[in-house]
Amino acid sequence: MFTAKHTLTLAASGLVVLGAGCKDQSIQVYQIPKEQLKPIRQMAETPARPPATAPHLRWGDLPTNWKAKAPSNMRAASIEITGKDGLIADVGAIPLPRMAGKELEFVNMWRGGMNLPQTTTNAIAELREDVTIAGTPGALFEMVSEDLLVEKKYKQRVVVGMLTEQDSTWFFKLTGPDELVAAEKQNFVNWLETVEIDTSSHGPETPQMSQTPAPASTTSPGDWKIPSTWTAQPPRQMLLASFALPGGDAKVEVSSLGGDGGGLLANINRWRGQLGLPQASESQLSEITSPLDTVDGKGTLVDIQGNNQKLLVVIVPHNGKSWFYKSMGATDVVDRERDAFLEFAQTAKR
Amino acid sequence: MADKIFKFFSSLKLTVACMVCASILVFVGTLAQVNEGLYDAQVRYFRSLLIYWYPSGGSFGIPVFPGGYLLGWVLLINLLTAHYTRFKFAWSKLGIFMTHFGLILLLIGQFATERLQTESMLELVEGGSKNYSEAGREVELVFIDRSNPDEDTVISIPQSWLKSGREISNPALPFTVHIDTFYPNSDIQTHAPMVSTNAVAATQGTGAKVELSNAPLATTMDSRNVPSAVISFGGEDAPSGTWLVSPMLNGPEVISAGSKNYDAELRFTRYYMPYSIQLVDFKHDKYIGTDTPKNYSSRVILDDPTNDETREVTIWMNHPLRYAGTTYFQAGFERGRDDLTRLQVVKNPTWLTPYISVIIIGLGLIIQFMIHLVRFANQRKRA
Repeated sequence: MFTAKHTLTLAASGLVVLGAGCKDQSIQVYQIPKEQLKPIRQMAETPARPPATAPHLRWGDLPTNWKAKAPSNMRAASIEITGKDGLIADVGAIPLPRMAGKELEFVNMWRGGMNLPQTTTNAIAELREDVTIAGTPGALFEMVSEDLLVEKKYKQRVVVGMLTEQDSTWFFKLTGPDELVAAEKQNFVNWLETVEIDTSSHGPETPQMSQTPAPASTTSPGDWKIPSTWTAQPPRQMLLASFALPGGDAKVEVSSLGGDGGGLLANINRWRGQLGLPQASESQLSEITSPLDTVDGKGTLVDIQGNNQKLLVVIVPHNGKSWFYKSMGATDVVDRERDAFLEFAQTAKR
Repeated sequence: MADKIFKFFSSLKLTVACMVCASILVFVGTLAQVNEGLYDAQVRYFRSLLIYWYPSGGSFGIPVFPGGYLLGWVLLINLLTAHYTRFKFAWSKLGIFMTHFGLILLLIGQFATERLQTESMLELVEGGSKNYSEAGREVELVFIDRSNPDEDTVISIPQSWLKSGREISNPALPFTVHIDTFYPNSDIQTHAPMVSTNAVAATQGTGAKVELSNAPLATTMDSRNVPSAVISFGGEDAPSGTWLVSPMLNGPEVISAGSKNYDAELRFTRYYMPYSIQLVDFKHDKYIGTDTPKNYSSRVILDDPTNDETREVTIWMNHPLRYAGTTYFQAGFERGRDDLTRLQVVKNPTWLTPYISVIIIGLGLIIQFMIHLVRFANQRKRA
């Protein structure tokens, strides 16, 4: 028999259910006045970026499932290949200066990104295929991952054509799901034969990344101990921060890349190339690098002396990324700012 | 049966059990904030009916302990039913009744606050004006139809709907939205062709030029999650390909569906208001010779055309602006910038209930104490 007491109990219990419910989380449709305000920070601060240039590529008819896209970043060509079940592969072409003779470094860099073991100078000859690129003999390398790297469902296959012409090395890269890339490899090789390199230039698009809000895992430059004599420079693509050093032509740059950032030796040889120095071997690494303690653990200091130019790089692996702190420019300026730079790199929160 | 239930809810043992559980919950929930972060721990331990344990490798959770909501509501029912059964009103017990009423009001007020309060941030640069504030954590996936010359139509999908693999449709949208990937915290990097073998985030728009990765959830007070999603569309006029949306991208992606364009954007949830606030001047005083903040204040112009009100207000520490049920607190600034202010925006229709509750509880305790004191004094006098 229900009494007032029982009714009260039931009513209170009902409150529990009501009270425990979630806030209103339905889809909202509403009208707002036309926005007249732009994000003010971006109006004044976004610097005009000088357009980088890259040579054009021309080619003949493409297979029906190949769709050329506008060149982007430093790419001279960008093509999307559509396969079965909506699978997509990507073709990109890019020239890089002074990269001749670095096949091993590049192949190992790509293999590292695919979780494949490093290969050796002797073994690379077996991986190399001869192809014709733009009417000139070139090299072709092919790699397949063991892991399911594409959408966690497919192995990844990468086919790269390399062509060195004068001072530039061209990289033509086909990347995508294993089966699709394998099926399109012959089309890719045929396409390599037809491409023509045009040295006139174009301005590439750059991805529009917001300066704010920073991702949670990123520390803003505001948390770094920046020496007062350094002058902050406008942000540039791929750089997290850039500072001009006082008293000469030298600067400090901060950037980060996923994983090991392409490998220590490959990076060192790239920097040595920029300073006009010959390539270093694995055995020389101990002379060029030294360990360095930072707030986020062990880092590596790279010290490269060129003719009148010097490069100091602190590499700090942290949270699956590699952070690069580079001080480069006139030797006397880089040397004078060495202590300030090292303190900055050692104490900067990542 | 009903009697048994009623007896259970009104029992003093239940009160004690709830109090013990609440003590354990506060202890465990406070410790959990170290690893799980303040916000997530609060949600898991205090803003929940039950606390779940997830076996490693299992896809379901096992409830192991009552959550804060459940304990609060059980205590409230316990208090109400106990009052009904055991307490008979008498003037000599006025203080006890008032104290209990204050407690009931406090509990109900807290639940109401949980449900009705919104907290957001308003970031302004000197000279800038906004008619909306933004949530600090929750994001919304919005599609904005700007075809009307007078106003924009916003279709806002809350974060709770954004789960990988989910299909979302709404009559206001000419297409269905498929959430291919949703990362509650994420990282975006420019795709470096020939250097990186990682896949780009999406096939269309900015997502085709960047790489997207999942990031560990933020657990510290000075960091926050920045979600990202890769979406695609279904329907007759739906755009093809996949698109990346993230607060980290600079501006929306333009999606074409039939003859209409939509701005698609994943942004921190916006709360629009029928008035605007413009920052005139931001002052950041430091103690001389140090970087220690002494005081910071924001001089703003409040412009409300609906109430024909325009006035200048200064907001500084402990001196918030209260307007139209919303309170604007001076909350922060950005290091190295003296032209940017951050105001915390709190809208809480029940903000007075804790004050009223505490006053009632205090009065009740004083009255009950005085009743006992007077009675004791009289007994001594008679003796």
